[in-house]
Amino acid sequence: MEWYFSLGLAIAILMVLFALGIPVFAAFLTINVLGTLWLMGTAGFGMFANSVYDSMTSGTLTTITLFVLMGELLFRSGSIDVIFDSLDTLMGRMKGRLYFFVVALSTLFGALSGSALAVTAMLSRSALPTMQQRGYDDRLSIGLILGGASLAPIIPPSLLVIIIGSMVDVSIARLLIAGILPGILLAGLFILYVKVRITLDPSRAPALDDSGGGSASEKRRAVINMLPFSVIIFAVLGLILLGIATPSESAATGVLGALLVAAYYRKFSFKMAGEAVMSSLKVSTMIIMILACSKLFSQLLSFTGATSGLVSSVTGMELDPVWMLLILMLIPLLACMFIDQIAFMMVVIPIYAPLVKLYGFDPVWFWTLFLINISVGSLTPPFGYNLFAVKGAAPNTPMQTIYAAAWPIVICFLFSMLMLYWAPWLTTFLPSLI
Amino acid sequence: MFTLLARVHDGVTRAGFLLGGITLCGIVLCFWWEVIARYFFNSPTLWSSAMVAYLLCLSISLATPELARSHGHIAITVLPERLQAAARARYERVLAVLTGAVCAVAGWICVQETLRQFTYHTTTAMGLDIPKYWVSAFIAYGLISAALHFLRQGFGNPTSSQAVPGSGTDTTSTVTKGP
Repeated sequence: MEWYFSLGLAIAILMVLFALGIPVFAAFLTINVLGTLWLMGTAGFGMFANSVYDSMTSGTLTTITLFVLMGELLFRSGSIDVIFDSLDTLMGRMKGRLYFFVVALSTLFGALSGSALAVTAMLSRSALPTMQQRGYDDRLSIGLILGGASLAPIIPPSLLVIIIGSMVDVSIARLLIAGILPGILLAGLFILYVKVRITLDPSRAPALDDSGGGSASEKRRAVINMLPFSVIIFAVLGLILLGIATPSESAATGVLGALLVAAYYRKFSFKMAGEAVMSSLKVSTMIIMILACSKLFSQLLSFTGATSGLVSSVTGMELDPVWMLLILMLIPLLACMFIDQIAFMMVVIPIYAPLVKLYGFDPVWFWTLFLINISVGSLTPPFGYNLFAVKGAAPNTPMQTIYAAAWPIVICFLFSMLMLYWAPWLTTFLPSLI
Repeated sequence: MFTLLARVHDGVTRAGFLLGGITLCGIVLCFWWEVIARYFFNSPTLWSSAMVAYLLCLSISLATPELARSHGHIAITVLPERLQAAARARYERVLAVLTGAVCAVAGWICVQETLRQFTYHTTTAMGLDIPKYWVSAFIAYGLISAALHFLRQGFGNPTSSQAVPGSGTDTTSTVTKGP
């Protein structure tokens, strides 16, 4: 059978299974069992079982579990509230104050949690009602919450980075660090976007938000209050940047940091810690089961000749690298409007990996661009996860408002990707230091 | 009789899930020990990376049935959500049966491989060598038990799809479902 037929058939079957609503891990199991039987018969069953075994005993994947646990400990203990209150005090009186507050808050939360969905839901429950009450524009507020929360998978720690790094031949530490500057750039773009919007149309922000802000001593206290979080940020980012710990070890020290921070704020309890462990076990099982069950997919693609066929036919096309990059980025942008991000990554990363090598794209730069692109998918209408997280947390907000809020932020993301294309050092500078 | 078996199955699932939580704590402790041993005593362990790998496999395999029981696995549910309540319930049963069948086949393959490893005394090769079936048996358990939960949901045991209180199926865990 021609490679393009097998590739097309495999992807079509997967898409149909996803669309039917079969759990993603089971969809991969189905295609892999069928593929093994078709290509190798029952003799391939050993290979099938061993691929699941290899993934489930991959030390790299413990990073996912530990990052989730760290975030759970911080959110469940309520330690994260300290950041909320401290930033509220630090922000001075300015027009559209809460807009900037949300951007700063979500950037910091992003550095403490790898989960965009968790940050979206938290901000939608805490910040959004206050903003609505004080007369802030719904669309602008929701847009910034969506955008800010979508920084979580880009700024380390990031679960999506671990997933990408476990599937391609790139240093996970470098990939993690590569997200720092693009994350800050995006936060800057969101601030610029708000500034422009409220300058052009002042009615989008209340005349002057008097609440919040504080005296000099209160601000000093707020900074001191936030200092313990620097332990976590150092444990995760600092240890990787200094080359002292592997991502898994830094995640484990991050868990220790989260426990110490919770204890420092007197918010630690064994009940809370137990709930955090069980909840993080559920989340990480959900992700790792998909990874484990999908691993064979890329091997089967190679087996059918689809990978080599794709590479040789793309080589034959002699496509300009710019066009190839555009195609490779356009596919996830469109597909992630309809397909789950992780499921999509499992399908395309094995197909993309040889093309990245073929075109000589810097792997850290390319996969960071890919990661940002995938993150956009979580807030792109109509099916982005985070849109539903906002709806769940603010049920009275019409879905149309949420959709309308998301588009300008999607444009900010696309603009940032253009900037990262023109200035690749924004992505590669920090990783080059380790 | 079936009710009793279902209760036993739920009990085993719950116990496995708790054990999975304990093994997750074990992973954290192994890493801490490794970091202390390496950076404070300059004597890295030879066993911690292998132990972490085995514990990860155990924790994921032991938690898989609980996720199946509490509908915790990611699925793209746009199509079922568009159906009327009754049609949706029927449709979800069919999906559960299909998913259960796939998990059962995958579980059966893993059982065969585990038995082969047992017969040939295959050991792991990760620095802390142990019989491989000690680890792979848990994968087989996870898939088979998950298959049973899906099949129970499909063939109509409503208790099989209810969340266990305190197992993390609350709003906080729901919002942390994806990255």
